[in-house]
Amino acid sequence: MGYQADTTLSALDVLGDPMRRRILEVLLGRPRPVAEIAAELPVSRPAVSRHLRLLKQAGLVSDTAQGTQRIYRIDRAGFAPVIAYWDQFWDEALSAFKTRVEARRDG
Amino acid sequence: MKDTDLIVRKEIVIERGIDETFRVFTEELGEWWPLDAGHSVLEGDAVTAALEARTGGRIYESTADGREAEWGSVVAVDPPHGITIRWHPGYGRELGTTLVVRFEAIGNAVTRLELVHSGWEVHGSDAERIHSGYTTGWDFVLGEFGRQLAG
Repeated sequence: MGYQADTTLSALDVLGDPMRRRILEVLLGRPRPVAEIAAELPVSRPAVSRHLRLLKQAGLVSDTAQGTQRIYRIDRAGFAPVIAYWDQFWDEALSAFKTRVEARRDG
Repeated sequence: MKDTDLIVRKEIVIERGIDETFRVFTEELGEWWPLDAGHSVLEGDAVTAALEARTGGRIYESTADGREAEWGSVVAVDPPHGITIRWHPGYGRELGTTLVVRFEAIGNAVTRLELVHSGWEVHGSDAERIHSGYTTGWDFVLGEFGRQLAG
């Protein structure tokens, strides 16, 4: 469905890849270092790093240094444009529903 | 960091009885869904949308020449009180979110419709259970909303 805001397009575009969604699933429970994420996925470590970079650019994950490791976590604030999109989407759809169903003749 | 609430809640009052409101919303989706570019996967080409109001039923849009795009599927339905939908318009079921739509009669000719869109995140102890392999994230979300719809 059509999207307007650049940030929303970025996050939703990035979420279009199933491997990146799998990474988000891995991170749902708790923050993880890259090696742990890679251990759960059937792709190479460099591929995982590339996916994490795209997720970070889209604002969906953030990372911090912990010793020599980078720990990744889901960035809830990055989902804000996604939520705002659906908020407006349902405003419009429900408004159309109300108009149409109330315009029908009783019976 | 601002804490984003990963949930959308909408409420609207419909000046019609609950049975008609539920029926038009579900089985007559094509009568009211706005097929503009913002609410269609097949932007500009779709001529109608449809919802099969039964467990496992499809929700989809279609063009005049028979192309279809799936928006999601019906997880559970309890006419005329509610419907739970797995929602993934234009992308795979893996990233599906959950729609729970409830209908409440306010008198004979007025219905309150509540829509809750969620499923982008699971919380707390259930997240750990999911990652221990006990269940998938989606199974958890389905279970939660199945219980809400039934209870």
